[in-house]
Amino acid sequence: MIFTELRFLVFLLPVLACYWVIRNHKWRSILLLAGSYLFYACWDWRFLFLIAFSTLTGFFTGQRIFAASSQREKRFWLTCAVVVNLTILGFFKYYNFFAESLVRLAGMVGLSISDPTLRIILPVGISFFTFESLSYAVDVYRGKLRPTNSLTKFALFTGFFPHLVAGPIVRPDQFLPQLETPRTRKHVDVRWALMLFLMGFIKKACISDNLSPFADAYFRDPAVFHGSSACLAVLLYATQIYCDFSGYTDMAIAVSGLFGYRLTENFDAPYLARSVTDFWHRWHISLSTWLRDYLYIPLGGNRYGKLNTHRNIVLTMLLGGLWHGASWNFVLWGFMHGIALSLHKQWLELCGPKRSVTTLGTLLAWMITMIWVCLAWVPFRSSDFGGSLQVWYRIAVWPAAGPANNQALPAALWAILAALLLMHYIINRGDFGGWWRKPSAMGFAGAYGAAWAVVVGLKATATVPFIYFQF
Amino acid sequence: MSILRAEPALIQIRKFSRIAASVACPHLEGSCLAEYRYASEGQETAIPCLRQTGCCILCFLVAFAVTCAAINFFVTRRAWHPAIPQTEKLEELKRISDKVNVLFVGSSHVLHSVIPPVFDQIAAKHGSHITSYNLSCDGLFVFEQLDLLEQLRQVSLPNLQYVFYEPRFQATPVFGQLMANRIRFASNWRNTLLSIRLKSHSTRPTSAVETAGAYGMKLLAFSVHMMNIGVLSDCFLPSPPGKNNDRRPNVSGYEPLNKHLRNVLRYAPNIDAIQPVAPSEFEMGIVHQAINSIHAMNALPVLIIPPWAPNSPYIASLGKGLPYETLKQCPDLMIFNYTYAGKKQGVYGCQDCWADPDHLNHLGAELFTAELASDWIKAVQKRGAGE
Repeated sequence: MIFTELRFLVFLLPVLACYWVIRNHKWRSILLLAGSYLFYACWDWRFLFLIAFSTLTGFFTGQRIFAASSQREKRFWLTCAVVVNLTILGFFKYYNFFAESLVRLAGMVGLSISDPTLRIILPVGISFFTFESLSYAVDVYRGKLRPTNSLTKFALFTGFFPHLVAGPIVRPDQFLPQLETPRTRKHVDVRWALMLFLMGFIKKACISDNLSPFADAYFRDPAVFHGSSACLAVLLYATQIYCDFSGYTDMAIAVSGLFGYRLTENFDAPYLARSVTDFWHRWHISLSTWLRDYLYIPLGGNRYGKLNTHRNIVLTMLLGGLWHGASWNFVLWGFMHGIALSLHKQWLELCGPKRSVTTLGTLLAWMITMIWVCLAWVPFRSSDFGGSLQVWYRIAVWPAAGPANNQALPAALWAILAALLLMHYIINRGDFGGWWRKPSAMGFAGAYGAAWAVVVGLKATATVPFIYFQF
Repeated sequence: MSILRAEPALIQIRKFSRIAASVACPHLEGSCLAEYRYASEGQETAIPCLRQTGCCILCFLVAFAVTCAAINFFVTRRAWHPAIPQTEKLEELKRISDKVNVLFVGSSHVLHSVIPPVFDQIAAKHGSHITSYNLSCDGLFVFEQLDLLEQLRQVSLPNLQYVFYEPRFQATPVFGQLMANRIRFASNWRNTLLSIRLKSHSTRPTSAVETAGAYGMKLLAFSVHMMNIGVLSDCFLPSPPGKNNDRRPNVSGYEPLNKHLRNVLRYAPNIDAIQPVAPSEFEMGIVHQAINSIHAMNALPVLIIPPWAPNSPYIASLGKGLPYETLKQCPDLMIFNYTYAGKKQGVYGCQDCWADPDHLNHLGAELFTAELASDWIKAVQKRGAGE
């Protein structure tokens, strides 16, 4: 069940109606939890046991850490929480990856190992709920958070259906206090939520899903396309993944908003970033801040000299890449971003704090950032390293059309991409939250209905699953 | 007692109405999250707001329906299914429109089974110098075929004499097909109006539940059709590469299937046990409209049921279920039925002629086209002699 499907509406409306009709806060939480688990069971009900196990572990280790009398005991319970969550994540997500890599490595040194891979289904959203459970244990250990006494609320913190399968990664200090407070109508801005849902739907169903067949066709077999199609395909994928993920996030935030809960913002016009550092302040913000707080800083951050700082940046991004998927391609993607972040940090130190930036300089910085970010999307999308090399080669060499590479992506897509970039710029320059508040209630309802009719017409016929579901 | 019981319910309804009101009337509540104000707790506010909520929902639905209808009228009715590479075939046909005398319109069974140059050659041997073109397409169902035939009426085909037409039946759309853009053809205005007049379910005896389900599905399919899912994006987005548009039709419109599958000719007695799913009255109504469209082009319709191996389920659904008696009443209609009749002749005597139980390969197509051409010539000559 994904947010752009009709059956999601069939699920959401009764849950929403029951939620607001129920008066008791405790029963509301139970309803939301039941709804969330039902939502998750639509993918695979068997993994409900996994999410329940992860939740129980997180809840009880949190209690134990808080109640521990000595630092040693606290550390023991924190280790338990970390080991359990990382074991779940490691087994379901990384076991086959490391087993295959081991077999390959053994083959390279002349050893023969029988194939130890298992048939494991990757549970949807495993990276999200294990990270949330981990951050809870760490925050309690650090003394930043008092653990909740309600298992229902903790289960809802990790399993609340809008953010359950593809984020944003909610932080316990932001979300648990909201769960403790009974929601009233003052917590709901209906018009804002409806508009945000519509915007998210447009991004996902009208832009991302419509562009997906073109990018897929190219990356399926880049060798049959002209060199000119390589750049276009990479730009198409960059647009697709942004609209897919930020569209999902918008809808998740909007749905949460209808229940009176605020999720963290996850995107802030990332393709207008002027440096890779700026890009990571705007792209998947909930992950980048999580990696900063729970990985980069514990590794030492920038406290132990320049060399260690650069090492920590690259290591954090390598692990961030691996978080996305069990493949060396994702590691390479993380490495490219790590190197770029490290270089940018060095560049800032060389330039000093008082540097003047001209318009041309800003434009140049934006272009360099975009080129690097787009080149990094190549391994993220390609099925293997050879495929990535093929695409990079085609971007660099631009081979002329021949009998073997006689296909081309339609040139009209350049115009569509330019229009989308312009819209991206215009929307993020002005204040989005203004004009749609002005009409009367009936005027808004009428315009909203007409807008939905157009949006449904623009929706792609085939519904494509969200890209981040696989992570 | 009942009043006491009703009171909490009333409170709940009032509470729900206030929530619903906040959905529809945010200006009463304050429009910004930070500046949100409580609505008045009194009934005075709730009741007018409930009315206003109803108006807002109505406004939403009316605006949605009117815009959908406008898009449907101005865009959807004129949009051809982009997933079917028929446009290119139509372009090719327009290029040779002056020469064409015989057209083949059908699904994959005709597309991969009729070779126009072979057909023309056999006809020439019998003294008929004709040019034929295969306008068939993979998976083209009766609804899409009708749409195609109506598009053909806009093309000038001055020398067209015969249209070979293979009605490929599709039962009432199943739920999974609702969101596919084929619904634009199956459940449009014309077909829905026709389905109101004719039975939507199979002509075999059906239960009340099945009948109701068929009508319910029609209604749902029509509603989905009216929502124009994906119509606007199909209008301005080019076709993605690698799906259909990389398949360029050859000059005769025929596409060979080069696979070979042996043992497809084994007779499967269990086929007899299958309850034939006969075409519904509604589907037959579409077939009649298609035949009328062919007549409107000043051509004669030739109904053709292409070969299927004796273990193909289609035999059960079509070979037995097709109401010949009804079709025979159509004026000037020739019917050629090549489904397995227990005789091992032609393609049914050839193990190497099949790509799969439903389709012939190139060798089978050559054999079948020759047989079809001979039969047709004979029928034309007989008809000429009769006149």
